[in-house]
Amino acid sequence: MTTFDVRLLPPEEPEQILPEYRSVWRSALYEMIVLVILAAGLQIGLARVHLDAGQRQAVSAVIALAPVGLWLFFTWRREQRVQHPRQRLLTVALLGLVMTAAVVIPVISRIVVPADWLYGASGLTRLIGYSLTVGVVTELIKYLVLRYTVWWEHFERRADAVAYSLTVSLGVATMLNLQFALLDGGAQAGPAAIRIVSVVLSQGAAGLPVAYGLMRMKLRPTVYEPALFLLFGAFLHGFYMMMRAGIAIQGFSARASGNSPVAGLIFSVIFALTFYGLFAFLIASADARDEKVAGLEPGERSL
Amino acid sequence: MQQFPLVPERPLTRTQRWANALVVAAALITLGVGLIMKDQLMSGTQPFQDLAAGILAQYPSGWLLDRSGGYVFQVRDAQSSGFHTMLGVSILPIGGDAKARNVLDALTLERARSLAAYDVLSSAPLTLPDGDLATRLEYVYVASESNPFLQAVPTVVHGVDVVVIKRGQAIVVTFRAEADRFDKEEWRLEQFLASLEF
Repeated sequence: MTTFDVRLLPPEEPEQILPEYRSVWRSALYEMIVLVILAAGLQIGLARVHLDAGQRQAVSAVIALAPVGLWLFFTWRREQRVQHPRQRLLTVALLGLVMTAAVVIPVISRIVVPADWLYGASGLTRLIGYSLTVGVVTELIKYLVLRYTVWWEHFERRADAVAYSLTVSLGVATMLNLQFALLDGGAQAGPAAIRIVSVVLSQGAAGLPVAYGLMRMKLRPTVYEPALFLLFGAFLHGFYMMMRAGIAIQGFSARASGNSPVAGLIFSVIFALTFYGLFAFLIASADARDEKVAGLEPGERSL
Repeated sequence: MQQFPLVPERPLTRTQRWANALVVAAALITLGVGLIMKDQLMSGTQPFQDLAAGILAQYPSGWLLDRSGGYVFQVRDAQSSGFHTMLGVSILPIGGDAKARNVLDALTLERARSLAAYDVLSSAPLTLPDGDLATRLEYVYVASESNPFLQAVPTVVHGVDVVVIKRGQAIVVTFRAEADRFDKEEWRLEQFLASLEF
């Protein structure tokens, strides 16, 4: 009679349950925290290190690519470890990058040329001028990339709009930062890191209204809302440029004059957190309303 | 292999199509308004009036006005980097039979002594917008920062003098800008001449 030694059977391993979706806000916050630590660390740690022109370009270019590395780690890698990964994130990021190089930078540097009329202008003029030109061009490109790549097929939940918006904004910000590093000559490590992180955070926050408008255009379409959200995103650009210039560039006094990049970084973080928080609240409220209407469990749709 | 959909699989609703078109239209119109605003800000002027000298003119808004030197007035663009772009008017008393050529020769001799690497590029007759005949002199020189603590690299300045003989005096309109920016800024001289009344 054959007998089996039950002790030889492998123990039954509990099945690993992957989360259904990646939480976009958590990834965004992790990226923001690491970026801010990186910028503050470089500003403090390398304050006495003086780079020559070539080194400034190289170091600034490396720092400009750091947010992409963090995005790959915190967003793209985690997206592969869920049951329903969001598709075409890399495509959206690359298109944001390419369209910025092909359209946004040429329009800003050859047609708008803010240095000619906005650098020394009053706060209100800067607000309006940047909103109507730089802001509109940047947000229109983000809109077109999202609209013609992922909007129809991959905007299923409101959080998808945030995920794709932050991705296209990262592509735009990376190209703007590479332009700063390679064509404008970059800067010393600390100020360069602060500028680069500020651009990433401000682009991320200002891109949210466009994606939210696109989501509304799919779920509850109205004719005017997407355009209004795009204009709101453009206004955020102008608001950011006006406020940051006032905060980062300190006034002249009898003792000292100059600028404070750290104050500019703090403002950028507050700006990003404010609008991340605002849109997180809007999305959570809308999802909760939908869940109530559909009779779903709380949190079943919103991630 | 998955196809890359450039167009949605299902047709958009009419509202979505209108919304999409409105986004693009609103963005382009807004950009157009922004560029008009840029044009108005850049070409905005404010009036200058000196009844004693008999001069009315419009100079660029935001430029710093200076009337303290040996000239009727000068305005400078303090926001321009390096050499501040400058427009100015001065009046020189001349003899009854003096010509614009004599005035330009005197200016050239005086500047060759006071300005580094001063060199005349060209001299040509010019008709002003109001029909007056004038002479235009183009020149270059090297300007150095007068404050030694600023340690600035000297810049090449491209200048234009427009000389008009009127009522026994020579009116000299001077425009100077950094050589790299001269072509881009020269329209300011034309705008200024168009507004100038003696």
